[in-house]
Amino acid sequence: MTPRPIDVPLDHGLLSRAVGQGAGGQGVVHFLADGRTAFKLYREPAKVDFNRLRRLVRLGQLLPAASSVSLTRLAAWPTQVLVENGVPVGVSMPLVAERFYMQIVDPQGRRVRRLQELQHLNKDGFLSARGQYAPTSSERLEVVGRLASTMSLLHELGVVMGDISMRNLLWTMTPSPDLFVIDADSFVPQWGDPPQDPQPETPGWKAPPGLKPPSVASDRYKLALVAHRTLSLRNEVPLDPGTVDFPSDPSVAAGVRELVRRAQMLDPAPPEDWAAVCGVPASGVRAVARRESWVDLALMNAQWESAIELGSRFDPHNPRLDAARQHLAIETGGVVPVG
Amino acid sequence: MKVLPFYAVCDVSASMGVGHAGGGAPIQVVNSALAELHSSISLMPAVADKARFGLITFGNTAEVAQPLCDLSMLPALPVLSVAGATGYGNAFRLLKETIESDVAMLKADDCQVFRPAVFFLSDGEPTDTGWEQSHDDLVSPAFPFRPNIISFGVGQAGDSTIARTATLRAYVANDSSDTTAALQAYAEALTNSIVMSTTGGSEGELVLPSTPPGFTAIPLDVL
Repeated sequence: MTPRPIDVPLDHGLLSRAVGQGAGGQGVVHFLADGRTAFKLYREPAKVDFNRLRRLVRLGQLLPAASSVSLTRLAAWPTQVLVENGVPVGVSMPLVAERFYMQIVDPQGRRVRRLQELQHLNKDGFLSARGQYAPTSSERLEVVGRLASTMSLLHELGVVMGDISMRNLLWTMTPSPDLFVIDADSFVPQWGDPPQDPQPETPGWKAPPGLKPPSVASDRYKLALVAHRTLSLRNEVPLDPGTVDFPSDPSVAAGVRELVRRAQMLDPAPPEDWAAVCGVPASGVRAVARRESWVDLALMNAQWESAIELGSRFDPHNPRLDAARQHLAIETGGVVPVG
Repeated sequence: MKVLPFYAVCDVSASMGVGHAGGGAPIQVVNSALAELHSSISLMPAVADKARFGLITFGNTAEVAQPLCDLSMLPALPVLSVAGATGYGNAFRLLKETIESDVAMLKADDCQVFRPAVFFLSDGEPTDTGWEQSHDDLVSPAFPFRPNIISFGVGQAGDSTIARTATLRAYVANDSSDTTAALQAYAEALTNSIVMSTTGGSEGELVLPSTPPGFTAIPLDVL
């Protein structure tokens, strides 16, 4: 494997030929003409913790080589840090696949293209009123299961999702129920320094302070919120097992109620439990079982920082870690990181 | 459910029907801009769930053109037409009555209601006298549902008048001869505030965009 550089200069040629853009809270996303890549340029780069983003980039680069998992298939994972005049200003990421978009008619009768966000799935009557296919309760359950599977994988990797809401989860029924997470650049690796930038939380989707968001526990709580709201077809509903209904399968209803109850009691269940209730295999866990091999991969490719980061977390007794630290020290002028 | 009500309070006096060179009449621009607001918000059901939108017009009289609603469930906003003078007093009186009944209705539906936000728009000086008292009643601490008011002046609306109507922020258009861009910026500011207040910031916090293009922020009256 030939590693890609983590930091790359912002290519203004590619940017000028971008075929579209979308504005978000933190920055502007430019859709490149290759049909696969987007550049997200932050409005206030100085407030972004690019070291946190570099950890995500390194993980995303090494994981496919060590397992069958591609994080860019599951989320708009940052793939490189974009640098201008020596200063990081943004990230590149995969474009959202077309199957996560819908063509919908607005009140003025115009046909417009929109991301298929969870908020559209969770508003009772919204899709059918606009001539769109309204997924069945079983299909919605599978979408929840896909989120549980993705979260299971990310937690296994030591990554917390943080801001989970109806606007950063995309769904599709084509060809089968699936889910894609956007705003993955706000994910928080649980190794290395704590994040130095503010971690957003969407109003109405905040975890109780006792769960110390962003954390594994707060992610689990928000998974319960997603499940409860997706199955009850309401974007804004507090956790309440009494309002859970799943008429087509009483055993599923009982399982969901129990997991909602646990979240309500601030003991949110792990995503694997949700995956089981939803009938979706949490395949990610086994797919990354060979995680020690990432460290060796990083070492083989002279990615000393990656090797130290991942090794310190997943393979702390690997004797080659000291060698990686020494290599890095030589390259950086004598400072030996401790992982 | 927690709900943040937004009210657009729009001047529909006769001057809003007078076109400018290179642009339609201001009332047409307002109609078109509000239709865009509706299109945007209606396709964001989670935003529409948390924000409610109402439209009050004022000219000779004041009217509730669009009762407070969930924009994702509304087929179309009414088309506004011009109607005489610029009566601020009627607008503020009707707004107070409307807020009182709307908040009561939402609470009866088990909603938690955040303090309403009013986006006030006028293109001229008030033609009535004593409007200040109606405004004072609306924003008085004695009125528990007193709204936050963000005011926009275009055309002949004077700085001090617009500042007097606002409680949070006041803006006056830089170019009094061409109001088209300013009216569009007003609607965009309202749209952005609805989206940002319901998807960012703290729960129930009114988030306001920075000074809209074509406007200058003016200081509010200090009493």
